[in-house]
Amino acid sequence: MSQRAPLLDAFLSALVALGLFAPMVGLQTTVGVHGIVLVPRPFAVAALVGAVFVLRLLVRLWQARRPPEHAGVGRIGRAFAGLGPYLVPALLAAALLMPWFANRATIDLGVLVLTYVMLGWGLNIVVGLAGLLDLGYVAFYAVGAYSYALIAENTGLGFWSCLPAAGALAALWGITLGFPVLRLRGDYLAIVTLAFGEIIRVVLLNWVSLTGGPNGISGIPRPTLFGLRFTMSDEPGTFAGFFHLAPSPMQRQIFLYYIILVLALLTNWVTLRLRRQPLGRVWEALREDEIACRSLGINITTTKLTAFAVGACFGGFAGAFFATRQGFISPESFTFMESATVLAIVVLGGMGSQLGVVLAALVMIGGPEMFRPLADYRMLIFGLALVVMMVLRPRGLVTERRPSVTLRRNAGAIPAAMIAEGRG
Amino acid sequence: MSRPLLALAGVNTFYGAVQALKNVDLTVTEGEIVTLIGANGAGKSTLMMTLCGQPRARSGQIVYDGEDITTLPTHLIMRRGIAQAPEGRRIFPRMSVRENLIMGAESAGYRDYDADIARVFALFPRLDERQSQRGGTLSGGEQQMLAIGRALMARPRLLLLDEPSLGLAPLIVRQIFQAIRALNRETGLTVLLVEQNAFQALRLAHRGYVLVNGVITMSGPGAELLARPEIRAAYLEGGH
Repeated sequence: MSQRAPLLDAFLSALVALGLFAPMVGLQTTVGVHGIVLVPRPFAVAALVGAVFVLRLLVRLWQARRPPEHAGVGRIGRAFAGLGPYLVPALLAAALLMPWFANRATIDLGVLVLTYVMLGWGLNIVVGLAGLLDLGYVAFYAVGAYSYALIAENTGLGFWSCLPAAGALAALWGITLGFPVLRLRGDYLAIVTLAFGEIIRVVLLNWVSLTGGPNGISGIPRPTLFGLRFTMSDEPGTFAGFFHLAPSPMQRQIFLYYIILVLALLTNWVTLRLRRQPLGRVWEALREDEIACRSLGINITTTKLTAFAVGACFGGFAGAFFATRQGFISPESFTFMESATVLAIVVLGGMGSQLGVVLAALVMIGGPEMFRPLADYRMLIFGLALVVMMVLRPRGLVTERRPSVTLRRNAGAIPAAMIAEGRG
Repeated sequence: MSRPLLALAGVNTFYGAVQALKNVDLTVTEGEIVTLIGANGAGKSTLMMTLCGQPRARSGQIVYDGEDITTLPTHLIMRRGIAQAPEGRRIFPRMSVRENLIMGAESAGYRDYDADIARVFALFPRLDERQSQRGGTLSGGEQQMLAIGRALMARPRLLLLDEPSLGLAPLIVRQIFQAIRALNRETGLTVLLVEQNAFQALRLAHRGYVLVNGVITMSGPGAELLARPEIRAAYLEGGH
């Protein structure tokens, strides 16, 4: 590389920055006497363009100085690999012990993050393992939530009795969606699933006699611990009364936290078990190459339908939990934004990685809540984070795929950088 | 001659309005290596895929082991003892060699496949060395070995090979063809081999068919086809 190359590159970056910032920063609208006037701000633009020039130059010089095989990706990857064996137990211990030390707001946040972890793990079955891009995952979340709410309202059954039904109904809808999209792949599949998510929401919104329409359903029963209710009194039949404790809203909060933790871990356990079964391997093979699967005598129809059904089932469980936690649901909670968030968690985590989903959910859900004081800069930080991700970890946070069968000798994870060369 | 293991009679296949196979008759007897040669676009792969039910034959009959399989769903056809190493190899790039092989055992129901894996490794020792490596990082020749090995995991009676020599160095092609011959000799495996590499394919096969624009124009023992001047002119001149 010649000496001039970094300079030229920095100059070009500055030029792009000038094009961008000149209209966006360079012209400020202020309310004058005769309406809005444009005030030019040349110095602000000059400062920004100068900053871009210097930063770009520094980045280029830094890149030029380090040997290529020690690129950032590899180093961070190795750091992760070193942490690997301790990270999972540490996260699990933190998740288990957290309610004993945290305050109410943190537990609430924990419940929220875990809900998304569970949704992420559920969607990971469909997107990460089976490779079916599903943009309408929120539909199953909604089906689960409304199933629980409606069954509980009409039959008086509690959370635990309704939970399997909510999961089963969501799975049924998963199969219902699966049938028409069996022949679709990639972008086409994404569009149909996107539409499916919207259809469910619009039906919920307009079927007023059943779902209450935009008013939603309120008074959804709270979960009980072996029949013990969590209320603000200590009469018999309540948690506080039975254990002779002072009633406190914290008890229910902690209870909810452990429910979602158990549900999420169940999702993870089932997924990890399935990955080692023929069914899970066939899902992964389907993601890799559908035509090869056909040539091996794999029944593509049942493979896709089971992936949709199992993924949807866990979405349904999460939905039922959401309904019981909120006590109130309306179609507003099940917009496309939810699908997008869950999908972002799966993609950011590294498709198919269970640990990645946890880290991504912490970043995506926990991050904005923890940095609430910086709310004004949230989108700015989000954009910056995306750019950094693109540069340093373009395949997601955790990109190693562990083989589902390992031998004693030389078994190991497969680094992502090598997967790129994949299709031969 | 004994009863044919596979028999195509008057098979016509279309892509929309375009006819890709015209009245194709072809038989494969148990224990034979039969090769189907032809130029690019002659319909070789179409014939192989029609066998597997995708696309379906519009008319005609495909009989395998006395059973009409013309209208069976693909996955059921592949469960009747037919296995395929598809064109372009199509191994699973992110799965390890061993996982790729296990996937091949799907249609055989995963019944004690460890012995089958050992047999594949005995046939292709290169795969044994690389069994924890990802499929995508193998060389072209190794990938072809893996594709054949994966097909063998289904314990087939009839092995379909679609252009196994595609894009491989001559030395590797020779190795792979030797392995096919060994399989056929030692286990009596029946092989239907689709090839552009007419010279090597005809030398390997007991019998051959020549496909031109969807029509079978010639057939006969491999050595006999090799000797025909029109075959030499069309497929063999210019080296090998």
